[in-house]
Amino acid sequence: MRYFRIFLIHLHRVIENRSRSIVWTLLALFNPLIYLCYWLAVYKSSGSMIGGWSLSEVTSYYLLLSVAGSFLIAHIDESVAIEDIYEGGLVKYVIRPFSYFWDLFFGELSWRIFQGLIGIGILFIIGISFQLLISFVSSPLHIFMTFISFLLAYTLSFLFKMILGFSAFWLTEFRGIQSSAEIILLIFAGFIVPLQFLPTQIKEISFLLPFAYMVYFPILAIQGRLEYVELLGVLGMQILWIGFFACVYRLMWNRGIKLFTGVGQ
Amino acid sequence: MKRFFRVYKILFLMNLSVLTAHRGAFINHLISGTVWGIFSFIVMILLTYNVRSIYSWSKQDILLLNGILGIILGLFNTFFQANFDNFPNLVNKGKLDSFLLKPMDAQVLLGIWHTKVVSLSRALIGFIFIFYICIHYQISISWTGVLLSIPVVILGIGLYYSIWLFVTTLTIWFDRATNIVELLHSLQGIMRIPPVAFRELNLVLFLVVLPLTIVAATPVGLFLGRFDFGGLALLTTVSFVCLLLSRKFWLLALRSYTSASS
Repeated sequence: MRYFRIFLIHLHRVIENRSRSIVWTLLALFNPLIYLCYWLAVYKSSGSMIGGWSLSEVTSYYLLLSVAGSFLIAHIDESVAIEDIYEGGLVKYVIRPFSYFWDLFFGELSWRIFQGLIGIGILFIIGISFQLLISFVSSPLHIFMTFISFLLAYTLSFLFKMILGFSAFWLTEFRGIQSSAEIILLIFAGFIVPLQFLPTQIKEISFLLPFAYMVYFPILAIQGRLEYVELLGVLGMQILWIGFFACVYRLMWNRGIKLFTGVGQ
Repeated sequence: MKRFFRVYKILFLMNLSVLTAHRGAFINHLISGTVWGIFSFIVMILLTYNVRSIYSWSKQDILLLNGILGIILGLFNTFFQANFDNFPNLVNKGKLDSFLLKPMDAQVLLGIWHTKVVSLSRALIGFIFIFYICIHYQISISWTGVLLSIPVVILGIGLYYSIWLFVTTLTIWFDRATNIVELLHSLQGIMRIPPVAFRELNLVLFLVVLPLTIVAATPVGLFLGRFDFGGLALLTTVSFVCLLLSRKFWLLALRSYTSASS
């Protein structure tokens, strides 16, 4: 209940800053839609399947990607590194009677839900305007497993971004590592092309990394492209990576907090 | 004009002093600019991996388009980008007043205040990428084509400047939307793709994205020695019209500026 109240407080702040939310949502929508225009032209000029994907599957992928980006990818790293660690904002969290992690988790969740809903609204308008069809999963068990996969994907992305933010305990300049991580995420999470379109070796590497489990596989799940066994495998990999990141998080927090100094009177 | 160059020289030297004073930040910006520059080419290599052509645009043309875009963005980032990035914060915190009160046109002054020499690295990467594409795909380039494409690239930068001015000016009315510049960074993606890719859109949307699509696409034809009078005329007309309209829009918005204390 306590964390639900925290969630509501954050949601209130999110609604207060709705113009920012709209811009962030549009940001998440633009790139997939630009890539979609590109692929539409590629398919229409070549008239064949690419990487075993039809035009409608690619269309559906990019439309879902535009919303999934808003729902699933946490943007907490910069505020953790700069506002909390560099500028000392962490002080106010360590003396509060609740966890820093969960406060940020539910705070970020409120942004994700709000922006995701705006994204769905915009996507709905786009879908109606251009008569674009999106294929969805239909069986109840599949829907349930996809929902779990989305929750795990958000947790995975959140943990990854927290760890990225915690690097500021040791680094004097955070932007370099943030840029590099952003690039890796964009390529290996399937933000540029469906991972199936990548050269074979890069594709195989990407399936082992955690990034594909943050966005790419949840989208395939919602499209209904994954069988139950494959979906179970995805959930397993998500849990595995969450476990790994949770250990890294704990280790970095325990060591980093000893280095942190909050200056004040 | 003489006064403008005097002021520009002072500001440019001031920016260079800042650069040498913060060497750590300089190296960091250099690395991050280079990384993003290389990334933009990786994106196109991935996007064209399974593609031979899009209508009349071959894979080589698309890659070349991105090389030229790299040069355009590198130059734009060097001379204007930091100023536009800073603009929403100036409005939000009421600091625009100090520019409006100075004895020089505020739009011009805001446009030249910061120069980010480090961003030239991106233009350099663009040159290297073009060089690589020309050698890899055995594309022959004529000096006439290269020389003709230089003024067209400048026109493209002018057009891109006016689009940024249009959008950032909106923050005078929507002062909380300080992240609007991120939106424009995101729109760069439109310029990476040949204009033909957008002809599937309806007319209104096509007209909205058209100015962005022709920024880098027009010089590509000239660069390859394919003179397209229609494309050149379109870029020239759209550039001048957008520059004029963005100026009018800026002046209109200034009437609504209230500053932080009002």
